[in-house]
Amino acid sequence: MELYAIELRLNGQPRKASVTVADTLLDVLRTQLGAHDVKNGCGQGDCGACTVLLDGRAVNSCLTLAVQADGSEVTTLRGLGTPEDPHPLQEAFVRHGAIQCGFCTSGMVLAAKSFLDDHPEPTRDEIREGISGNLCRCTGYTKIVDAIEEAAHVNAGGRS
Amino acid sequence: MNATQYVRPKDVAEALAVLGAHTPDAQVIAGGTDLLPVMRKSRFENGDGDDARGLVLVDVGRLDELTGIREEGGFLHVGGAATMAAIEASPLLKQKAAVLADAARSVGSPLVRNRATVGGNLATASPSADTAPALLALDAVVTVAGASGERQVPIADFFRGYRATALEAADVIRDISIPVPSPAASGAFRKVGLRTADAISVVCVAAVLEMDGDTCSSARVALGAVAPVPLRALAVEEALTGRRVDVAAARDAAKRVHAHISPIDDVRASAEYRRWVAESVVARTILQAAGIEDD
Repeated sequence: MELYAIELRLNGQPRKASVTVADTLLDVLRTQLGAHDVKNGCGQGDCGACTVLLDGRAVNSCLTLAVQADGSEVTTLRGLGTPEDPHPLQEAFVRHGAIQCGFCTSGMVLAAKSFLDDHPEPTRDEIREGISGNLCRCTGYTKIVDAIEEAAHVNAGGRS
Repeated sequence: MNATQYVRPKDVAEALAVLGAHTPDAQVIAGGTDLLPVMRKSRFENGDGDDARGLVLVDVGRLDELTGIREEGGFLHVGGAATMAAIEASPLLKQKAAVLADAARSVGSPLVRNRATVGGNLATASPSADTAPALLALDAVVTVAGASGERQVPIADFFRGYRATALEAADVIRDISIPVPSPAASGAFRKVGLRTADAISVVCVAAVLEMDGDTCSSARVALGAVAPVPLRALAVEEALTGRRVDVAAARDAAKRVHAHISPIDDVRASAEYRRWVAESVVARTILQAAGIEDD
């Protein structure tokens, strides 16, 4: 099968990969680019575990072909913040106990980041709709919604 | 469905040339949110199929000439590759065609809506495509670019059967034009799914009514997920037109919906449930569009 050379920026770093048409962005991030913070869940856009920011907007990387991301900016959880310098959303998830097994967390935080960019002062119902593409089977969502609500307030206070 | 080549053309003209050169082995892709699950299923069932005929994917998702949303010459123009996210957030559409913005906001999840396009929603022609009833109620026209130039297809003629459309193999949906609704018009979109968000419709209904005081001077009411194609309920529209709209009138008009729908049993709901809920949702959508409190 024909191979395509793609270039993208992954968490700010220029990266190259050689991909087939059928390779999803998820496949290439995990198998070629070492981005194991992106999780492979359902593979068909139902669970949101594979969420990344593609040119700033949260998408299912399992529903995006790697070739379609050629020339794009891709941000994974590690690009949002580090243990030394976490993003307010990451801090809020920790503080509220919004993480149990952790499998959904990477996608959940990135979906929340994209959602808050569009909805700086959300209601709790809007937050629930905003993470409706991300399944969590542990928490029952309450603490996740609490964390996102707090992060929105932190943002409103001048940090982003 | 096994894809082996990928082309990202620089404009619609190049897209049409590539599609024409590879027909019938060419496939338009934009967001890919419907296409990728089909490709994945095919891969599981048939393997990589190196010896099989492969498709050429022609990616129109990033073409500027297909992604705009603007008003011009009495029409609202929505590019075929405008995303659901762009449509739901468009101030122009929220103001003048909120029924479409609301329908777009009910498609999939926010993650899907950042990729999925309105042209894709029409081209895959799922009976439950949420933007279809909204565009039927808005009397939209689909501009299709093809080998022999452009042609205009009224949305009511676009769906030809279960997952069948007026599109030829090498066509691209360029634009969806909506006559700017009169200031007296107001619309509503309602959907019943198995959960509140990120659900496929069990029934979806869009209505656009023009009101003269309490009286309905014209009505368009359309449904999805209750027939092989999204469709207008003309008998419901006739029952409303020229009448004073109140709860009793809306419920009476909604009973006429059964002349048009032929729902099936599937994983989401039984045909019987769909018939019941379709009538109820039609009545509620009419009342919402007319600005009348349901009791």
